[in-house]
Amino acid sequence: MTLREDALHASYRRRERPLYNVLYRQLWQAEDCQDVIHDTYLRLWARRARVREATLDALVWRTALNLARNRLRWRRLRRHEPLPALPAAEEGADPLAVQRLHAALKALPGTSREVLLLARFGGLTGREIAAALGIRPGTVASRTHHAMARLRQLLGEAGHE
Amino acid sequence: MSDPLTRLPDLAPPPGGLPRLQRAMRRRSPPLRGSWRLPVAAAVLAAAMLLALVPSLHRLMQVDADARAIRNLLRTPASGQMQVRDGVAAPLESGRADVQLYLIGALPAAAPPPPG
Repeated sequence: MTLREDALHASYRRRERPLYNVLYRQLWQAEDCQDVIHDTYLRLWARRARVREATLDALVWRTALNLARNRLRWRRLRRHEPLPALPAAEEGADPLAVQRLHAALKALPGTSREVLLLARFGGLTGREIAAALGIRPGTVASRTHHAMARLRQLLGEAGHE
Repeated sequence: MSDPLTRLPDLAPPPGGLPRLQRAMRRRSPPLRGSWRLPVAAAVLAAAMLLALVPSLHRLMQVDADARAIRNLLRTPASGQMQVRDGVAAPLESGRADVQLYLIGALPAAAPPPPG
């Protein structure tokens, strides 16, 4: 059954904010995040004959994360590293602490960063994260554990609490 | 140990995302403009083919009519003799003993009687 236009719009309204928050901590550029979200939904609309509403959200996450990885790969190939712009909501926070956190997130492997961000901002269960990443739920749990440990190590939690 | 990610605020995406998507979707799914062209072209083609076939059909019908006329001419009456009405028949040499040829000509229609 063909995906309906109103179902796609409803998914967009539901997922835009969590997508933006996850993607921002991958791409660090608001415009890139908007483009990825836009391209994600446009791609799913182009394939609407093969998309089921029941699996739409998982497909949205999977497509968005793939497009974000492509952008990061493109940047590495072009040796293009944009200066991260601090969004308005973070401007009030301690800039040094935020900068350290950003640096630590960037230093994490992409797969580790994704599980942490999906859990923190995606509002997804372990099973939903597994569906979005195409991995087993058990892998999500172990990856999250190791990712958090690595993040704390990078932040030097013992010395910065 | 606290979750360091809780320090990251929940950001609001810049506005205008959904309208932008809706515009792009409309551009990608335009209404079927020009959809009348194909049926009209098919109708014109069919008409052209029909017109091209009409002379051939006419010839076939003429041939059929001629064949019927010849069969009628060859249908001999019960007496075994052939009759020619409103015309004359002149025998021709056929070169075969079992075949007799006739040249048949139509007589002009009788002139109407003068008035009075």
